[in-house]
Amino acid sequence: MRVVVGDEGAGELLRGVLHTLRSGFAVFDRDMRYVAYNEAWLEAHGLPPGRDLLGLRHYDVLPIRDEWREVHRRCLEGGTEQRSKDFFDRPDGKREHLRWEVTPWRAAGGSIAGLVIYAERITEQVEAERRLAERESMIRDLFEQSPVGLNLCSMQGLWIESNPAFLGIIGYSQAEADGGLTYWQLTPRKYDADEAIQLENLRLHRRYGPYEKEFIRKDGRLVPVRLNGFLVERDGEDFIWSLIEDLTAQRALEARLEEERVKAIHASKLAMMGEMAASFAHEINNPLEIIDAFAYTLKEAIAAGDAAYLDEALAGIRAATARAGKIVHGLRKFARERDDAPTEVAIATIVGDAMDLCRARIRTHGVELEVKVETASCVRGHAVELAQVLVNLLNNAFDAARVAPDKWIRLVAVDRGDSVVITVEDSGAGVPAHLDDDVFRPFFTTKPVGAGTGLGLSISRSIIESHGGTLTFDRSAPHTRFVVELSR
Amino acid sequence: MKPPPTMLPAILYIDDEAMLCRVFQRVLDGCGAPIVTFTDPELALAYTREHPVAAIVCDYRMPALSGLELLERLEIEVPFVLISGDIGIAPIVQSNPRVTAVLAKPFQPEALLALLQPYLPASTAR
Repeated sequence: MRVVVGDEGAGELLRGVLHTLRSGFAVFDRDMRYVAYNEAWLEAHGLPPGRDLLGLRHYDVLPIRDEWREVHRRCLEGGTEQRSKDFFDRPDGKREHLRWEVTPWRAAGGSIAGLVIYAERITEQVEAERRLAERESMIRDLFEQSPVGLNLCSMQGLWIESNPAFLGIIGYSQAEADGGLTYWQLTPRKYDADEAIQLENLRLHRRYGPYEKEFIRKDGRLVPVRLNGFLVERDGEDFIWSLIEDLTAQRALEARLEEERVKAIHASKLAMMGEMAASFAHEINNPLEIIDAFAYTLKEAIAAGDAAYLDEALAGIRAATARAGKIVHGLRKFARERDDAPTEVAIATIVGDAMDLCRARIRTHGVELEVKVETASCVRGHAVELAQVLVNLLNNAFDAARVAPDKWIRLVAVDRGDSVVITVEDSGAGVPAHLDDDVFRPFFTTKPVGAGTGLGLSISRSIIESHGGTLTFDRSAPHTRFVVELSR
Repeated sequence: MKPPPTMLPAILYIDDEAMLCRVFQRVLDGCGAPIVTFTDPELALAYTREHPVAAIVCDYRMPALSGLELLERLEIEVPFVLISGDIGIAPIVQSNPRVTAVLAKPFQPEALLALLQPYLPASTAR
């Protein structure tokens, strides 16, 4: 840059022009004393507006670094220097970012008369750049460090970007993933129908998920994942961003919890059988007594040739054997661990299995028992677990009814719409109003210490809920009434 | 219940199991005393108010009335054998002086006969 000052009038004009410039601008003599400067110069250096610098030495006014003094010296010898990005620490401590240029100006005779310094404040731009870079690195860190798999793919399923977490889930290297691997190569065919649903979601809402599926890892193993995603546009083309969570640990935990739950159900059932042991013994000991007594009488009957009595005795022995056998079979059926796969099971069968275990106990204690199965429906589930719920409800009803003045229990199974409803009602004192919800809590019991585990109802509810049904206490009933509702 | 042919003191066998009544009628038959069986304890109590009784064999667990409840209401003092298919009732009855003996089902008929032997008319005992 070259500034030429002619006469006084031209100097005035130049000063006027200088003040309109938004960039800082100052003219110095060879001794670095201010000859001219503009407001923007004051501002760029943190000096108050209107400050009179004329005749003052630059180095007295501002803390000029040695590095800059060197620049000034070189330029006074004829050089021109510039920096596109530099900084200046203002006297007030604030750092300004500047772009500057230093160039000598010449007197009329051509000799160097001083320097012109042009200094543009670029602090805002530098800050903006820094913030942008920070943001970019933050997003990069999120992408790289995220424990959630992140993946961008084309509408055709071609993978464009994959983060390390995602590569870990699918077991491929970055190069392999970027080298033309597609979503469809890693998706088992059994998900075709589900995939169509998610693509339809994308089309309608520009989002999909949460969608649980599996990917085929490079090692061939299936990995359970949960996907969520949305559409983004790049250069007019749609792409899918997906967030992929590895559900392996969660599934393992769920499996362990389910295993514990099944164990707890089984333990509760065994505890219940322990409570019922006395009545089972009764149901086996009576037939045994019948058999032995008949056998005792046979010798004499044979000697006497009493054919009619022989017939009666043999029939009695067989009937008693069948009766004891029924209890043993019922116990064996009830005591076994549950089958892995649920089956279609008739409500009548479930009620029948429960009754086989409870009927004698209830009746020998003088409690009236009414059972009405007015449904031919089946439900899908574990027959033993469902029978366990009814045994539990019947046992509770029995404990309440046996000490009531009027002793009865009523079990009714009916269809209601798409459900089958089984109610177990008893004549007992009922559940105190303030305990409605508590009865389903683990370890809750109104029975004396040692008479109940307090787990029956909470486990019964867990069983029914795992079958997609409900187990509730019907407060509106005049007597204690529990209601099981299952889809048929 | 059939009234006995004579008014000899009878042995009452009380059990809600009809089949046990039937077979013990036969087991005890010929022991020297008339055998009267009841599935309904109330009828047995009624009988004791009208007729002489030599001994009572009674089931513990019955729907209408337990063997001990029956004993409670029994107005006569008579040998009383409690039989039960339940487990663990011995401690409940041990402290009751009116219970002569407790037999846990299944017991051998001979055991019952042996228990009753002292209360049978000696001359006709087989």
